[in-house]
This record gives sequence, structure tokens and C-alpha cells, in this order.
Amino acid sequence: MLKAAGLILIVCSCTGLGFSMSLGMTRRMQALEAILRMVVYLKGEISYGGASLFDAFTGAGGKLTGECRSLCLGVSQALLRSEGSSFGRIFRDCAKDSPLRSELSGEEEEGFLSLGERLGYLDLEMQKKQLAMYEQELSRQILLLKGELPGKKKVYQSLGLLGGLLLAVLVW
Amino acid sequence: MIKCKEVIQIDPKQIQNMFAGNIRRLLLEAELDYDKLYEIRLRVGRPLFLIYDGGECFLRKPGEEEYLVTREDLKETLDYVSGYSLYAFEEELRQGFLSVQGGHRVGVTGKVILDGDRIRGMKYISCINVRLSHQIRGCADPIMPYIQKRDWVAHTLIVSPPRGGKTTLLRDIIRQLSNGRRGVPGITVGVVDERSELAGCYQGIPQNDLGMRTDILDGCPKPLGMQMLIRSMSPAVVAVDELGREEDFKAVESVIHCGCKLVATAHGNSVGDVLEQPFFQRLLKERVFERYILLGGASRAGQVEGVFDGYGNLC
Repeated sequence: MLKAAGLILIVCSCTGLGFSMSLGMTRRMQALEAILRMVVYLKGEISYGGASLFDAFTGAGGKLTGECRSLCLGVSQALLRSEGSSFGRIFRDCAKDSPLRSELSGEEEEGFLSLGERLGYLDLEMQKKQLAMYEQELSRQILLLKGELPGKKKVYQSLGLLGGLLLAVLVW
Repeated sequence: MIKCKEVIQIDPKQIQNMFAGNIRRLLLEAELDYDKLYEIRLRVGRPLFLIYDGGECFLRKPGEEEYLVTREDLKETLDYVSGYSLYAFEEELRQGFLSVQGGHRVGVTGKVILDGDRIRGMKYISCINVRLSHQIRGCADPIMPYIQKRDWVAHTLIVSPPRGGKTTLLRDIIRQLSNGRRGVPGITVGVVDERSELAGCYQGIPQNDLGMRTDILDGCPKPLGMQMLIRSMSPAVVAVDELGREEDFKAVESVIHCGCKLVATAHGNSVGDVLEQPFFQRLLKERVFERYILLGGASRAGQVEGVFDGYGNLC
């Protein structure tokens, strides 16, 4: 009886692990979409009337919800404190504390953390182009992930279930 | 000297935070009285100059030679002054200055980038001059009875050499006209603040108190701004800083002919000095200005040398 209960637990936990990994993929997708939304708002704020970075982040923070809102408002607060770091450093520090970061893969994470280093340099056109470039990069990542998502989700879920069954057979 | 009733204190942290780390440390160590500080000048490879307490001095690290400003200091300072957004100040940079929090003004010089005849921007910025804005509430008290009675305001021209305190005085006149004072009700004042010096608008918010009935057009050329104000805000008084160009005088005429009163300033060592200029000659002939206020020079900043009527007689 006890053995059967243990085997059921093994199968359930392995299946859960598979489902959690597939959910992780969905969360990664949602994180990328949230960052893309933030970039679009920032681009809008800067393009329309050439808002400063403080204004752009405050404005975007006011429109966004969730983690991106906290991130934008955090950056604008840090700019207001003006403690003598570069903007790249300020953004990186705020982004490192954001839960969005943990959902991203290595390349996506570095792109996200280095967004601040792309901004504030030269003229208005430069800001728009930098944001447009990152927007394209994000769109490409999202498109790629969208293509992979259904298949990978199924693989994770099936592997979890089958792995659990295999482990249960081996233990039996 | 102008009677100081209330000097609005400058926040030292706000000033220090505008500068690069090295300069910030020097300012912190120097223990300055920021109400006596008027300018901080940074020039690449040159000492860090301050216009302080009526004189000039430079800062040095303890036990060392005077501190020489580096290119990195300038770049870092520009980052902080512009909130890492120099691109957002393109228009201001074309005019050679930007307004920052607290109403202070940062002048820059460097290599100008031209697009045909038009200034496109500036690169290799090699000099930054931070001019601290000072507000002295009540500094216009001795002047007000000459320029405003209960139902009358005089067309007024404030004349002074550079750093004579004309903007500070104009600011307080605007505030007093707008808020009113004992026995004299407040009136609507329209201000065309072409160089963001009067109101010191930062991100659209006036950093200096210009009164409760004052409408401010920030960053707008004076001739355009005066017309816009008359059309849209129907002010009783229009106030502008530093008249001098031909277009300004055309706009002045339109202000006068539509029944508004004008309070303005002009650069000059004496009233005669200003009135010798061709455009002022016409205004003099027409007796447009009813009061001329002459201020002392930099060494006598804020000192009223005299108040004259439209005929040049001492009031």
C-alpha cells in the first residue's frame, strides 16, 4: 500500500515538474510581451515631444501594469534621486531587482538588462532607433518562442509524465 | 541696496547633485553658503571657478593645487544636468543653455554644428556655466509705489548692466503685481519667458514663484509670445526679460496699443545708454515707458540708482 502511494507520488511529482516547466515557457513569453509593451510606450513617450528619460519612464509607468510598471517607476525614482551613477547602471540595478528578469533566457536577460546602456546617447533620432532596434529584437524572440511554444510545452508535459512512469516502473 | 525681506534658500544638495563626482566632493568639502553663490564655471583643463559673495574664487583639494576640470567631469556633469537626456534639450542647446530643477540655468559652449545657417546642435562641449537663480521676495517693495497705484500700472523698463539683479527685481515685481499688496488688488500678469529665466520652468513646472495670477509662456520667442498672450489670456500686464531685437519692439507696440501694460528689462549702464539704441529711441519719442528703473552693476547688484519718469526726470 505504502509502495503504491510512493509510486503515485513519483508519477505526480514528475508530471508536475513537466507542467511547471511548460508554465515557465508561458511565463517567459508573457515577460517578453510585457517588456515589448514597455518599449513601445517608452518609444511613444520619447517620439512624441522628445520626453526626457525621467518623463518617459514616469509616463510609461503610469500606463503599464504589473512588473513593468514597478520597473518604470523604480527607474524614474532612481533618476530623481540622482546619486551619481550612469543611466546604464541605474537601469541595470532596477532591472536586476525585477521578477521579469528571472523568466528570461540568458540572451534575452542580457538584452533586457542592457537597455539602459542604449539610451541617453546623442540625439532624439538615436533614441528612437535604439528603441526600435530592441523592439524588433523582442518581436523576433517572441515570434520564435511562439513557434516553439506549443511543441515544447507538449514535450515538457509528456516528458514529465513519461519520466514519472519510467521512474515508477524502475522503482517497482 | 534692494531691501531683502525673504531670501528663498537654495537647496545645496540639488546644486551638488548636478555635478560630476569629483566636483561634487569639492563642493561638499568647501562648505559654501549657497545664497552667496551666483555661478559655477567649468572649463576643460582650467580651474573650477565660482562667483561667490561678490568675488571670484576657485576650488582646490585640501593641501593641493587648484582642481583642474577634466573632459570626463564635463561629460558626467552634462549627463546629470540633462537627466541623461541631452537629446531632450536639443532646442535649448541651440540657444546655448538649459534650465534645470530649481530654476537654475546651465550655459554651455563648444563646437557648434551647423545645418546650413541653422544651428543644429553642439559637440565638444568645453565649458559649462551654472547660473544659480536667486529669489528675493520683497526686493521690489521700494519700487512698487512708483510703478503701481490702486487703478494704475506704469509701462516700466528696468535697466541694468549684466549681473545687476534686473531679473530678480522683475521676478518680484511680477509676483507683487499678480498677488497684490496692501491696498492694491492683484491683477493678471502674462509672462513671456523666452529663456526660462524668470519662472525657471523645469519639465513645465515653474520653479520660481511668479504669483497666483500669472500665466507663463515658457521658451516662446518674445514677439510671438506677447501676441499669443494678448489673444488668449487677456493679461492686464505683460512682462518680458531683455528687450533688444527689432521684432521685440514691434510686439511691444502691439501690447501697448491693446491696452495692456508692459514691464520689461534691458541691458545698459544707464538709461541714456539704453535709449540711444535706435529701437528704444522710437519708444522714447512716443513716451511709451512711464517709469525707468536703473540698477547698479555687478559690484552693486540690486542697488537701485534711481527711478525716472517718461521724461527722464527723477521721481
